[in-house]
Amino acid sequence: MPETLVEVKGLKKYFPVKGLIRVSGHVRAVDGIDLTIGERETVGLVGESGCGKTTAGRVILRLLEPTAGHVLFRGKDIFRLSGEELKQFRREAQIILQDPYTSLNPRMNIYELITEPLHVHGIPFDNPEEFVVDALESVGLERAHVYRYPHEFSGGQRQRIAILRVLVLKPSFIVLDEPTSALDVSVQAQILNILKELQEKMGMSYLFISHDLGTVKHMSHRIAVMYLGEIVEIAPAEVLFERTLHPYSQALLSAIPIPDPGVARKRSRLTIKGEPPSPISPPSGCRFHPRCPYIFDRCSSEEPKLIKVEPDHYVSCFLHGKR
Amino acid sequence: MPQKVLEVKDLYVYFYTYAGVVKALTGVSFDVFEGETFCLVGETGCGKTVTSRAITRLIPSPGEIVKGQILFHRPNGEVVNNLELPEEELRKIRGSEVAYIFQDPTAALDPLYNIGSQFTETMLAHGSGPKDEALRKAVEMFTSVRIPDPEKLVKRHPHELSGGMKQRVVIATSLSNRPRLLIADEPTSNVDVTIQAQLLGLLMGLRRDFGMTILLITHNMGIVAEVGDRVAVMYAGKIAELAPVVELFERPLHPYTQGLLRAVPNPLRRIERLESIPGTIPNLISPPSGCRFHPRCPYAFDSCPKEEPELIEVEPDHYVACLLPPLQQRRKG
Amino acid sequence: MSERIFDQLTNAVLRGIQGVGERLRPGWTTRNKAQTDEWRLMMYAYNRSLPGMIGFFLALGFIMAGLLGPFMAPYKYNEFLIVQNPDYQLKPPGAYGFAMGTDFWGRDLVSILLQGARVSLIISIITILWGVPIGIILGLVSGYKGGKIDELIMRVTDVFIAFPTLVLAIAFAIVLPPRIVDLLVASPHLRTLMVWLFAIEYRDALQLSGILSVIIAMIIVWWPTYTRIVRGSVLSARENLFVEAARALGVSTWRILLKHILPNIIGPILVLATLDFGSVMITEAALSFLGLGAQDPIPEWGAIIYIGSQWFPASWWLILFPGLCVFTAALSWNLIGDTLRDVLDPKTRRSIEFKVKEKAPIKEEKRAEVPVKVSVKVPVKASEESSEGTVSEDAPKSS
Repeated sequence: MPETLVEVKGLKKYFPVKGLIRVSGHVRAVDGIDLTIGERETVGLVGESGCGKTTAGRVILRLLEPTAGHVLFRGKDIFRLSGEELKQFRREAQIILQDPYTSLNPRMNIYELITEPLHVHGIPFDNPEEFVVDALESVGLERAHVYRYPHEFSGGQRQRIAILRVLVLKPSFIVLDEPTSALDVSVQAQILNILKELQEKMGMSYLFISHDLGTVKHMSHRIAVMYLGEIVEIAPAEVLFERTLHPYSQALLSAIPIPDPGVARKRSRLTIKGEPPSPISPPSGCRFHPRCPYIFDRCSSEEPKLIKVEPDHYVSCFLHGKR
Repeated sequence: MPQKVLEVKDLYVYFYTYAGVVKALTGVSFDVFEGETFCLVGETGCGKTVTSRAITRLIPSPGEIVKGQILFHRPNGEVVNNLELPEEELRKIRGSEVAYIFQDPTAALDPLYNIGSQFTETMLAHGSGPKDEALRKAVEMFTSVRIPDPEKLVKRHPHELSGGMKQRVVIATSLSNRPRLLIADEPTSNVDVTIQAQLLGLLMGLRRDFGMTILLITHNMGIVAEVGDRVAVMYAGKIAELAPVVELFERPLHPYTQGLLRAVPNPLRRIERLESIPGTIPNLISPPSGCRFHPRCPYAFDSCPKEEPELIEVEPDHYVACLLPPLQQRRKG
Repeated sequence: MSERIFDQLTNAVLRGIQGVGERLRPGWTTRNKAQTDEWRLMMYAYNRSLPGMIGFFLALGFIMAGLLGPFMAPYKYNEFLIVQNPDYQLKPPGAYGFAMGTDFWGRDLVSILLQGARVSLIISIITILWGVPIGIILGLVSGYKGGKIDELIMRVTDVFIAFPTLVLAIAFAIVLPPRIVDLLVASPHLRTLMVWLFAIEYRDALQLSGILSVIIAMIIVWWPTYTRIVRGSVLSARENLFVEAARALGVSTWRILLKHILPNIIGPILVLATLDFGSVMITEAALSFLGLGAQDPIPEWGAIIYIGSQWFPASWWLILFPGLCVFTAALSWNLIGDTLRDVLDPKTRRSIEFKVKEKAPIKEEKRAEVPVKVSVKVPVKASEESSEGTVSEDAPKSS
């Protein structure tokens, strides 16, 4: 059982919807989630657009202030930190963003980009140029690239540079926000391999946010499925795929295109009807009930809670009672 | 013997830019048969989108179709070369006999007009009856794409709809004139995976009901496996491999195809390490000599930089463009 | 081809800069190679714009006149030749060898215009040098911080913008001079500095009060526009992903503003500042024409027109020649500004740049020297970006 590095408790993030004069409602992007991430562990956070996973990632790093709830990093509530302690947290907890084409300042060359984090945190180093060259070579880039600008590199190369920027701080926790969604398939594999290697070498924990269950499964030890601001199921990766319990998880899994025609055409699909409802006024009771094929009376009036159904496997659905 | 709907022969498309001549397509040939879903798959820059646009001469400047033939078998039996048709004739084909769906439905819908009027505009442009007749047809079409409350929909504006809805509207509009060939360019790349499943299911159902042929452009091998009948894998402006879908996944012959399939995580299998293809996609202004894939190919040998491989049939309906001796020896005919 | 000559000149200038940089900090050339190449591309594009080159040379002439004029003028600005010969008063061009005629006090117009160039140059430089940075800083703070600070700064800016430039400038130019005179009297160092800048004589120093008031008035009037524009740019620039990335790394607000936001929005500001160089000249000429700016005997183009207007149309040359000077100088900055705008935006830069090469025959394998990767912007694919000249890895390291 790995030691817990990050503990999220009852985290909520609402965005006010501004009318002409007053606030007319709230977008409940994240509506009470609980999550733990252990040392050297990768937890996948999966869901479709609007489910709140991106917002959750940001709040967990305190890039956004929460509406309610706590996030404990090494036991301390990050929302109470300030000054030196906050800076220390920022060093240890980092983020890799989705779009490598816009996440690097086009006016800074690679040398500046990679040394900036070190300047900011006052970390001394002897030979900055050699340091940068070593860093570049460790991810398959070259010495000649040191003074070039981001636009001279391909997407995969840029993402590697973005990863280096974060790595020079030697963080212990990285939120990966769809790190490969903007990249081609063959390049995705390169980046994912690098991320996995780095985790082994440096012992980091990852929160891997994505809508692509295939890559999430490949990278994660445990996976949490989000729907409309809530976590509906958490389980170890293999278990989630073998014993999918929540109807939404089932639908999500059966919707992924499988690159194997034999299997793809034979399996039975669970296609859910309708579209995700608005996070401003979510449905009453279980938020998934309007689209759920197994709905019964309780579903529209009561909200289910996350219940443990087997070791490490939690579901929030009335179909599954306590075991 | 199924009929051919489209024959692309030896297509060359170049873009004359300030930095040089981008050879986007160099000698692309393939046939599309009636009623099938033909997939063009590849990564960024492989030329699949350019190919789809070239079919009805929608290549913008500074691009030019420099060589080749695009033979389209029209519903009335005529076979025409789209590249040689006068603009008037081609306009009749575009939108009614060959329809397009693009990745971003928002771009296809004018935000100022309501859905109903946009739909009828397409119909009236191709000579269908009076306006209320067209409106009735609109409701009919919207029902067939399973849009709830189609009568209310015709009065709504695009911004009131979700991505998935908009895409359905675009599909309905494209199908309104019963096209022979539907070209879908990454139609589901902008939507969530569950909506994607809905839309793909819809497209396949419509293909059946309307007897259409679909040319599907995508970068997602999973989609190809799910809905494709035959597939062409493109790389750097050429077709690397062309085969029936099942055949391609079971016996990929081109090293690029093999690499691509190994790089895609299959959630149903446990893989320790994804195999990546080293290097990056070549630039098309000065592509590598000989076989364009050779700098990244694990099996490259001395002929590869010298000779450009041609697409040859090595098994029934399975074509590869590769110089590897085992493939060359199996060459048929 | 004149373009080639200009390109050679450009290369020479850039090499010179590299030389200086190398001297100051060895290794400068390699560190800034990409930057230097970018400048070279921009200057090549600039060289190909006829209006741009015309503007450039006109402005160059203006600056030369401003720097050297006072030393090249045949007469001094305060040589009232009327004292020598009363007949020299208000002579038309050509009389007595005065190429452009004389003014009311017999001063040679050519000389006054050359001196006036210096005065205009200095006024414009000081105004822009102070007005623009103030505007930028306020705009940065306002746009990035938002909230109450933003509201406050914006309301103040609104107040200033609501006044017509000229009216506000007039108000300040009337109120300030007496205080400036006091200031100049009190501080001999300030007087010496002004005298040196404007190339006038010490005893005329106090007459500068009018001009200095005009400068201050214009600075006050000019900064709001920059604040507005910068704020707008900052509002959109701060949504950029790399700004978020910098925040996540813990970069301080000032560093973000100066290193991440400002360099990315500086383009339009630079263009505006260039165009404003001309606008400032016209405004201060107008103020002088109204009798507010330069006081006798300080030579200033607008002031000369003012003098000439009193005997119009008899003294037409006193209006025509200074007028042409103002017009040409202002025009030159406008031409430069317009061309800069085209050159700085990569998209429009291409339209003036290289002509399309002849159509290549099919199957021709022409290898370029530097592999350049361009992803062509073919309609609609959302994830593609068009990138500029790239060096990509063509071949993987084979083991």
